[in-house]
Formats: sequence, C-alpha cells, structure tokens
Amino acid sequence: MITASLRAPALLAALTLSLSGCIGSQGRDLPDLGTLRDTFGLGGAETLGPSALDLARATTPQSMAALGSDLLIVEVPALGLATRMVPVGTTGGVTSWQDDAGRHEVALSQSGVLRSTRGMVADLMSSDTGMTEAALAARRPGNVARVMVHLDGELRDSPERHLCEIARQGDATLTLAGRSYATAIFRETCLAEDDSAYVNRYWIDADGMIRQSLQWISPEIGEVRMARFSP
Amino acid sequence: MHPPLPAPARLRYAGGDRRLWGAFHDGTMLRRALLRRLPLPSAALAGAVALIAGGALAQSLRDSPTVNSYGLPGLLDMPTATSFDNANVTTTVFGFDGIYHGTLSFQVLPDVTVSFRYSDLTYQTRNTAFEHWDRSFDIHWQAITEDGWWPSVAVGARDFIGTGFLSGEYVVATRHLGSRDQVAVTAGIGWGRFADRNTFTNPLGAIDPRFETRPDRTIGQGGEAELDQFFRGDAAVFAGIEWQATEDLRLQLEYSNARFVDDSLSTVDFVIDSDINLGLTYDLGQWGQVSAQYLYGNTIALRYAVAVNPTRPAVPGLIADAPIPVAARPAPPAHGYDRAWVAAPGAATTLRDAVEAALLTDGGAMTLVGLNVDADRATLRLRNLAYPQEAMALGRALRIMAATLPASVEMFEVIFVVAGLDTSRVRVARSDVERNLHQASGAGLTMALAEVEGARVVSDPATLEIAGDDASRFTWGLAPYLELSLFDPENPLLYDVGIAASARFEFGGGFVASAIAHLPVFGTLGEARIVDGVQPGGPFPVRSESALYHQASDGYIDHLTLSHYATVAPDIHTRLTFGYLERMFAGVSGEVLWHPARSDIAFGLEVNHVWRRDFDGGFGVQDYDVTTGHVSAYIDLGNDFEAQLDLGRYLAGDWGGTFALERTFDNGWRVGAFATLTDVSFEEFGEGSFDKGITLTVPLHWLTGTQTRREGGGTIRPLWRDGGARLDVDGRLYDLVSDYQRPNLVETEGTLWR
Repeated sequence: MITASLRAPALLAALTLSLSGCIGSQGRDLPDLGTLRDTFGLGGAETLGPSALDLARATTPQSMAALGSDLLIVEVPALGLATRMVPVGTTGGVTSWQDDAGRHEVALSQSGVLRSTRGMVADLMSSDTGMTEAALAARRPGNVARVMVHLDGELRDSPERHLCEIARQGDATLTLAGRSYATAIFRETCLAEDDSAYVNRYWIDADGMIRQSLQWISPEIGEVRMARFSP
Repeated sequence: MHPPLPAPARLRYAGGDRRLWGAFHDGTMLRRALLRRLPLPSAALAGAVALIAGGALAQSLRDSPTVNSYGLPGLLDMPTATSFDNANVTTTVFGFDGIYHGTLSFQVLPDVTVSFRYSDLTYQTRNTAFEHWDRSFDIHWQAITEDGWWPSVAVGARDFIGTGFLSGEYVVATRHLGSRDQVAVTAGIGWGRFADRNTFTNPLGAIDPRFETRPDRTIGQGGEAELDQFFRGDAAVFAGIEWQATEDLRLQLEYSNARFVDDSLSTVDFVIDSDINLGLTYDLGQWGQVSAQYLYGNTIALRYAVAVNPTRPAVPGLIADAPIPVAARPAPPAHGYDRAWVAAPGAATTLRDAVEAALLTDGGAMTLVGLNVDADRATLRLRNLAYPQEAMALGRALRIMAATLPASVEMFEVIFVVAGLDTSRVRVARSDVERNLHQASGAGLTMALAEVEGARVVSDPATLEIAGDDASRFTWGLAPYLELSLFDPENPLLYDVGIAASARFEFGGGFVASAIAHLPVFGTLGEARIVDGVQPGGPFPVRSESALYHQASDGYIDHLTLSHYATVAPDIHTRLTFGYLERMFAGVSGEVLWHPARSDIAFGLEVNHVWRRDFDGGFGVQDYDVTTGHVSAYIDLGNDFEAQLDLGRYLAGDWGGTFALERTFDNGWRVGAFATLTDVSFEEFGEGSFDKGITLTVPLHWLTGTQTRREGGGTIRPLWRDGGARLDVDGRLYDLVSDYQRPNLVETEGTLWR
C-alpha cells in the first residue's frame, strides 16, 4: 500500500525553493535542482518535502569527502521524517544505517534493498528479499517472491509471502553530490496477503548499486525514500 | 482503509556520543506528523471505557454482531447465534425505569462468550420500593456456524451462578440473508426466565420426563450453579429480525416471552403489555454502539456498548529509538582472535565503562548488576527496568555484548536479576547473533538456538569479575492512588483518593526492604457496610470487616516488610518475608518455588503465620492469629491459557483449594477467573456461597506504545467474604521468576531483535 503524501505546503515550499534556486544558483557546487526534484519521485507528483531537499542540496562533493563514507538521505513521509544516515554495522551481509542520534535505522542489503527498519513505529522487522536482489543484480524483469515480517497485535512475528512482478521502467541520469550516475529504473509491484498492493522503485547504477529508491515498509507507515551518495 | 496512525511522541534522545561526522549540521528534522491523532480516550484509559481498535468502517451484521442489553451477542433482550471477535472485551450498560444492568463480557474462545453482570433492580409495589443489587454470570456458546443453508446455532445459560433473578437457558439459531448480510433472522427456544408466557411442555420431556418440571430455585445464598435446573420446565419460543438499514444504523424487532424478574416478586407491578420489542442501534465505530428501544409495549430503554480487543493495541507500534546495531567481527586471523586482552591492565575498567555507556545509549532501560568474563565467555547480569517484553530485554543485552566485548568472546550469557535473584541463564553464541539478526524471522531462529537453564547449573567465568553500581538499589516514590470498592450491597461504587508514599531498598545478598503508606485525602470508603459480622458457626471475619479498616484509619501502612530471596539449588528459589505483610495481617511468610527454566509447570509451597492487624492501620496487632499455607501448581496449558491450582489452609483456618484460569496474550494482557472451595459450607460462607472473581491485567505499553513494564488492572470479586481468603503478600516468587524462564521468553520472542 503506497502512502501518497502530496501536501500543499510542501509543494509550495518546493516550488519556492526551486524558484529561489534558479535566481541564486551558484553553479558547480550545488546539485542541479531539476534533477533533485526528479530524484525522489516520478515527475512532480511525489517530490520531497523541503527538508529532505535541503539535506540533498547541502550534500556537496566537499562534504562527502570530509565524511569519507557513503551517505543516505532518507525520507519517511508518513512520519514526517527526513534525515541523513550513515552505515553503523554490517552482519550477515546486511548493513545497518542510522541517523546521527540513533533514533531511526534502515537495514539494507549490499546493493541497497531494504531488509528491515527500526524506530519507525510500525517497523519492518525482517525480510527475505533474495529473489528481488538477484533479479535486480541481473537486471532481469520477471516474477519474484519476498517474505516480509511484521509484528501482529500480540507482538508475535507475522511473516507474509508477497508475490511481486519486476518490470523495467526506462533510464535516468542522477547527479548526487556532484557525481553523475547512469541508472536503470525498475518497478516492483507486489501483492500483500490482504490483497492490497504496493510498489517499490529502484534506480540502479552501472555497478549494481541502488542509488535511489522508494521501498515499502508496512501498511501503517507506507514507504521510505532513499538516495545514496558516495564520496 | 488502514487504521489511523499515531502521532509520533517525542522520540527519546538516545544519549551517548553518536555524532559520526562533523561536516554537517544536525540533519535530522522531525516535523509534526500528518496523520490523524488517536482519539483522546486512548491516551487516558480509565477502567471500563475503552476503544474498539481497528477500522472505522462499520461492519456487517455477521462480522460485528449487535451487543444485546445483557452484554452478549444478540438483539434486544434476546440472544442471537453469533460471536464477538475473538478476545473482545465488551462493556455494556443498559437501563430503563428502575432496572440497570452493567455487563463485562469476554470472548474467551472464538465461539464462547462469558460475562459478568452487576444489576440494580428496583421494583415498585404499591407500598414499597424493593431494590436489589444482583451479580450474575452468563455463558454463550456458538456451537454451529452458518454454512450454506444451515443456520448458526448457539446455546447459552444466563445467570447460571447467582441469585437467579435472571436465570434461564436457551437454544437459538440465526441466519443471515442478503448479499451483504443485511438481514439476520433469529429464532430460538428458552427455558426459565425466557419462558414466562405462551409456554408449552418442554420438548426435551421426550428424552426424559424429568425435563418437564423445573425445580424451584433454592435462592439460598446465591452463588451456586443450579445445574439441575438447566433446560428444565416449560419452554417458550422467541424470535427476532435485524436489518442493517444503513452503514451505521440497525433496526431490530423481537418477539419475546421472557420476563426477567424473580418469581418471588410476583406482587410486583412489572407489567408487560406486549410481546414485541423494537429497537434501533447506531454504530459509533471505535466508540461503540448506542441503542434506543421500546420494550414490553410500555417502556423506553437505552443501551451503550463498547469493546476493546487485546490483539489490537491502541498504538500499533513502538515509539522508541533504534537499537544498538551489531557489527560482525572481522574474520579471525590464522591463530585466532587475540586472547591476551583479558590480562591487560585496566581491562575490567574499560569493559565496565563500555557496557555502562552502551546501556545509557540503549536508553537506560536496563542497569548493570555485574559482568563476568574470560577470553571465551561472558556472563552479563542486568536488571530490566523498562522493557515489557522479556525477549526484547534479552535482545538488547545481546546487542550490547556484541558491541562491547572483544572478538574472542564467543559465548554470551545473560542473567536477569529480580529482587536479587538470578532468574535464569540464557546462553546464545555470538555467531548465532551475527548470523540471525537480519534473517527473516531471525528472532525465532535465535531463540531456538538459545539455551535457557537455571543460573546455577554452570558457574560464571572467573577471569574478570566486574560489579555494576547496581549492587544496592534504593527507590522511592510519592504518587496519588485510587482505591475502589465495588459491589458493596448498598453502594455499588466506593472510592478513596489519596497519596501513596513508597520506598524500596535492595541491600544486596538478596535482602529487600519495602514499605508503602497510604494517606487518603478524600473519598467514600468509610461508608462501606460491615458485612454481617461474626456469624455463629461461621468463619472468623478475616475479610468481611474491611469496612472497619476503612473507618478506623486516616492514613495506614499498607505494608512494611523485610524479605530475603535466595536460590538454594538450580531451579529452586526461596523467599522469606516478615513484617506487616498486608493491610489486615502481619507476620511471617515463607515460600519455596521449583521452576525449571524450560518447564511449562512449576510447583510452590508457601507457609505463613500471621496476626490480624489493628483496624487503625498502625503497628498494633489483635488477638487473632492463624497459620496458613498452600501447595501450588502453576501450569502453562498452551494455546494461551495458564492455570494455577492452590491447595491448603486459608486465613479463617478453613481448608480447601483455589483454581484459577487465565487467557494470556503475548503482549501482556491477561483475562481470567478463579473460584475457591473450602470446608466453609455455602451457608456459613454467606451470600455468594464461595469466593470467586475475575482478574484483568492491561499492560500500559499497549496504550502508549512506549517502553514500560507498568500494568493496570485488578481483581473483581462479586463479594469479599471470609471463606477461602488468602494472604495478600507482595513479591511472590512465581511472578518474579517466571518472566525469564524459557516459556515466556519464547512467547515474547517476536520482539527479540526489536
């Protein structure tokens, strides 16, 4: 289930920013705002709120060099959350990324497929996304199955098997912190056990790394949007 | 449509230095959530009123049956052959001129509904008004579910333990019609109070002629199940039809030959002008159902019912920070991980500081009692203050160990300390943690590989022994309290509000001192009626003179005790408590509990010698003293049911046993009932015949979504008399120890890596 969150104030702010960006553009050091708007959605309908855009704007090659590791900008519209995350630990082939205060976490496979979340109230507890990862790595559309585990009302693990279809949706060039990535766009349409549907989208670069994505967490929280910057 | 989402509360700052890079400003911005807030009562549950969790969409007659005036699935007075959602707890209030019923019902099994009712019945005769406060229990079983052309069929007994004012049994069938189940047609046969008019000879008389007569109810003291009355005597039919007129409005029409008035009040003018009852019910979604009815051809009645379901929490998630992440160890060098660190100077201090810092980062929900390590194995002793699910506390402990202990430590052991007792030792291999943390259902995988045993089966590693600050703990508090007394025959609700001062000191070595004093500020408890005093031949008034305690004290010591806890053998724990054990008794209480870490059964033995305390709640005692004690069996029956059986001697010197059955939920909710039978005869016991009651536990985190071990709830007793009265001593071993044994860790395992 997708939680669409077009909000008039956010859209207005995005437009204002883009206008001011046009007027005050500084040239090379700032990311291209047109690309940023496209970075987190399809066209103009699902743009980032201003705070995530601000984070993205402030992510420059210089700041990435100072950081020395990859960086995620993460937005969860249902929680009003926009934050930066860095990798904090890897085990079992999965890397946990947390924000500065350790309040929120996403756990991603090496390529960037979401495996679990923490601190997002109704979290994705764990998952098995092996088939999705293999299909994306091979850039092969088709049918896959994934296991998604949430907690039920009694706090018991409630695994669900979702059947998904992966389709190719074209290409896009992304500019993240001054670096340019030629990405292939994939769309994964999944059916949950209550017959509701949700869609995950992935922008995958030439090395198989997911540079940008929208991935579903849970029925209550909806999707998380991520963009991955490298130094 | 998905259920409304919570507005995220202030997320706690985890503390500790998590700043990982300095080139940015703080990048976290958390704005006000865009979602609808939860309705206000969810933030302030107070006793009976609660929410129907779940969607706000009105549901069909079949999925969401109407709650009848007696709190069971039905129409108006009559039942239907339906069931509520499994585990629903429903509160119903209903009334008309002089007759008021308040019912608490519970869907204990998917097809069995039970209820407890408190009624205020006022009957007017020409000269006097007769008021009676009545307590009754019902049971309703949907034996057959609607299928094809076959209707649902249910059988039930109303007021089967009680004084019999409302007693009757029925068999009923219901059929839903229409593409969306808009119409429900019901028909049934009833006995007892259901068969007052238009009766016919009992059809069951064909099986046995004794069915044709119904023995007079020996009203007696009430409280007995008069099983030999069931389904006997003349019968009458009842029927009804219900129509879902709009999404929120239902209309009901009922044909009833019932008369819910006791025969002994035949002089009373309870007039029934018509056998047809009409009603309409409006669905308020989460706020319940409200109904207006025209009954008996002459009366207007109102009803309100609201339900809460333990499996649908008020907050569908956890409002807390992310946990400490786990990073797998680098691959070991050829000669294995370095083991020399144990001997390095300052290793103990470094480790202790690291663990204390990690506990702080984790939010301070647990405190360090001790850490014992050698190069391969580490045993961490913690006190869990805030995690309501014990498996989550275990998971957080394992994360802390993985983050702080050097790579050579492969075996992790966690011991949770409660009241100075090592409750159990849980052993998990670090490799299993690293491998299973992110696996789908990795929590279950990890618990399957974990070993849970008595803490003393193996000894702790001895190379480095680190003590936390926690060796002695002092806590105190000052808080308001509310004390309720329900069902006093002349006052259904008495209360006191006041200030409670509490203090607790754990000396170490298993010694615990605890005290609570109450100072009532205002209230009506002093008006409680003294129940019948000392009966000749009856039991000593160990409980029934509670009114004297309320009247004679302005402030009182609730308890003032010194306890000692010890583990004397693997899986055997002991407790010795002396002092002022509870409000009415002081003395000595000793207990032994045998609870193997992997077992579903535990056994205990408790022996007490107590003196009755003075009514003024101070330090004096009276002449009455008694030795009491019980042998207890605690049994996990599986399928979410737990039972407890106690056999022994009670406070009035009577011998007997108590059986308690509880339905438990993995999130901490518990709903149960108990009954005690002793050699105090039903006549000697007095009204109610034997001690029985309902227990209810609601975990606070279910309402708030935050980390807290606090619970609310209590015991509802229709009457508190003197037979089968047990000493109410705090800190009994089973409650302290069972949380950390394997069965409960497995029940809560979904939260292990939360």
